[in-house]
Amino acid sequence: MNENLFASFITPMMFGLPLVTLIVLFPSLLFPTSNRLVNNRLISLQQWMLQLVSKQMMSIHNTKGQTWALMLMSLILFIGSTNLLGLLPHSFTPTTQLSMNLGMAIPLWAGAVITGFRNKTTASLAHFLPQGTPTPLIPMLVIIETISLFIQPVALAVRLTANITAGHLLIHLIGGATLALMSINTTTALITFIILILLTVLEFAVAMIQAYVFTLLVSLYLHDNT
Amino acid sequence: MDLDHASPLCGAGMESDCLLVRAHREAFALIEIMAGPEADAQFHFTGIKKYFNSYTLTGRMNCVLATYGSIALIVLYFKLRSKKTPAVKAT
Repeated sequence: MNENLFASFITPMMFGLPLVTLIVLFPSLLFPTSNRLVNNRLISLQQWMLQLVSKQMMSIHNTKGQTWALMLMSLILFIGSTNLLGLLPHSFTPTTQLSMNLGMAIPLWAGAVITGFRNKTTASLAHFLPQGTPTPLIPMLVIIETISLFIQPVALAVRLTANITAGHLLIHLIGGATLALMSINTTTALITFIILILLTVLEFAVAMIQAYVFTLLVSLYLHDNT
Repeated sequence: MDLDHASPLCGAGMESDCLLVRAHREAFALIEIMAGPEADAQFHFTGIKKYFNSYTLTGRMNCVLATYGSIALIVLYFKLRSKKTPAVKAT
């Protein structure tokens, strides 16, 4: 039982070769591209959705920040599609791996912070001290703000990992409990099954929300630095 | 942006009293006070407070750099002191 609980988080291998590269690249096949001016319904729907999200997310940025539009839209699409595909039974979800999420969070955060230090050095340094701080508190607050800056990419990665992993574990546990209860008490198994359905609906929402939250936070870090 | 008519949550004829609109207005006002170098002109400090204060951009930057410099000096002091202190001799 204990071994099976975490088996779905082990990176899959086939004949000794890691499949994780294929799994990470797979969601890109689900978003078709077209070189036509007037597209079919699927691509039009995809473009409409992308335009809606990019307008909402990039409206707060200036010209410099809007150069990151492609990066942020790719990020939200990748995380959203990966999370949703992970809800399929017996599939592997790359975003349950902390290494992967750190690999996304750290370069994006560092890019935003370095952009801020290069273009607005005074404002970036001044950011470490909130306006109106009483004089005796200044050194302590500078240290606290520095620590909170360096915590940002770690929090970003751990938030995504923990949310997706916890959801998958819960589904696994409640699914196992439903199966076990079927032979013991059918009514209780039915209630557990209803809970499983509701949890799955919640996980669909969490998958999309976590993608949005990750991208939004990167966008906010960028906004602070441009 | 017309904040009085911005929020869909405000009922007809109640925009001016809507709590959400008021919160938005205050948040934007605060952002305007906190924004950049043009806001620094409203502060008139003299002496050392002109360079080290927690209101102007330059003042805040100098406080931050002074804090980092102090920490670096303290670390350097303890590192050099531990090198100078001789090892305890056996008696």
